Amino acid sequence: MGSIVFTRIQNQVQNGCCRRGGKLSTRSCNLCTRVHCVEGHLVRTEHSVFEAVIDGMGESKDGVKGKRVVFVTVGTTCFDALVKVVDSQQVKDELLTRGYTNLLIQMGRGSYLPKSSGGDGSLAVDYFTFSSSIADHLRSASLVISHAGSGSIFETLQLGKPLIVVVNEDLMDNHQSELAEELAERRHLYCARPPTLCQTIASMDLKSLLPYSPGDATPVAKLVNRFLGFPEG
Amino acid sequence: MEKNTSRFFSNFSLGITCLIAFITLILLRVVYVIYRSGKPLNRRSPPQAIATLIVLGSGGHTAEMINLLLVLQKDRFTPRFYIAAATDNMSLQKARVLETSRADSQSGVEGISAEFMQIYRSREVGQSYVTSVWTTLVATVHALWLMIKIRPQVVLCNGPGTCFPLCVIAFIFKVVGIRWSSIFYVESIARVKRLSLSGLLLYKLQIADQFFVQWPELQRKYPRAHYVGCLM
Repeated sequence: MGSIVFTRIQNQVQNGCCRRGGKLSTRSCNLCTRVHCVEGHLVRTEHSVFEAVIDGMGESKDGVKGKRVVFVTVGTTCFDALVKVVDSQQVKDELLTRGYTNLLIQMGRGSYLPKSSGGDGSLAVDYFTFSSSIADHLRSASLVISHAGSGSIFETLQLGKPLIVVVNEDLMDNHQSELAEELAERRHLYCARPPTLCQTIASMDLKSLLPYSPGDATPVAKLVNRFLGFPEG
Repeated sequence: MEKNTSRFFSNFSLGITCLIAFITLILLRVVYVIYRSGKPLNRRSPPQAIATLIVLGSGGHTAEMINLLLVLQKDRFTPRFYIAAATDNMSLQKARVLETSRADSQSGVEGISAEFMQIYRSREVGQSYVTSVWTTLVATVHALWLMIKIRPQVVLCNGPGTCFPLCVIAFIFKVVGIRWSSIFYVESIARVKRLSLSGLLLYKLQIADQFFVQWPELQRKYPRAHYVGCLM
């Protein structure tokens, strides 16, 4: 088993250490896609999450040169409007113009089937319904287009991937849009609706997006422990 | 004839008086429970392990809850009971993975001190409100059954509709004296400006002992809530 080297998403390599001095674990948590030390503490930085690279195994998985994947996810919902508009010639041309080569669509419970295609210089399109964990797909994507579910949004942001959130206008009482709009206001992602997606892709400046610092549940734990009368620490 | 009617009326008024007295006692007890619930538990010695009920909901709810559980010391909150809706397949699976992964990282052999249960849903998404009356009743009875089995001392929930009947029953247990529990509610991170229906009910009815929100605007609107920042 090699030693663990944690690389920042940008480029610098450094030995990660848990803020509380714990030893690094050999795997990232498959539940929250974050990395924990053996004590269970989060390995955190002021920027994005580290991607674990086992020393001696070379590069991370998507070593294929030149492939830039756009991953579209609707989570466990049915969001045909998004799948349809992503599959439209307009959007596909726009993505091609912006330098993307592949389009992978996770379509969930939707009934609209994208037209699978590939080769001949156009955008290579593929799709599937569900997978037990989309973390690997997120990791190998260059751009993520997601529905406004908080799980998908934060999983993507924690991996440091550029994100466009598309709000489903057909949902009743759309509380999800609050979160997408708030994070867009804080410049962590772009927010769009199916009719405005093409325009958003055309005009987006991904370098202007701010990295999202992972949240922290310890304030809640402290308050709960104190309330119940447990000693500090 | 007159004696009978007057005896009937005196029995009747006695019955009414007893009923009013009983209702007043219950109301006073409820007021006392609400008052006492808002205050931290007063213990002479630190507690040992506390039986904990964890309510899971679909999608983001479970992810947030797992995030919270990772920073709670597992030997303080044990045994743990996970409840998810019957139609939610992923949440209990994720909880099982969490439990087994945490058991691995400890040295020494520990039995898995966790149980996983499913509860009937009060209402499915899109279900008609008419049939919902019956399904809510069924769900409430099922919730009561589960709560009697578990009798938790701590309830952790973060928003799915499944948590409301469970919290109400926990509150009733406090009023009636079956088990005193501390109910902690963390409003979902997706709630930036408005509370969810479960949250609103638990806040207004003062059923939750401590109410946490993740965005500052909610703390301004609901001053009894604690602002704890984003968990994710």
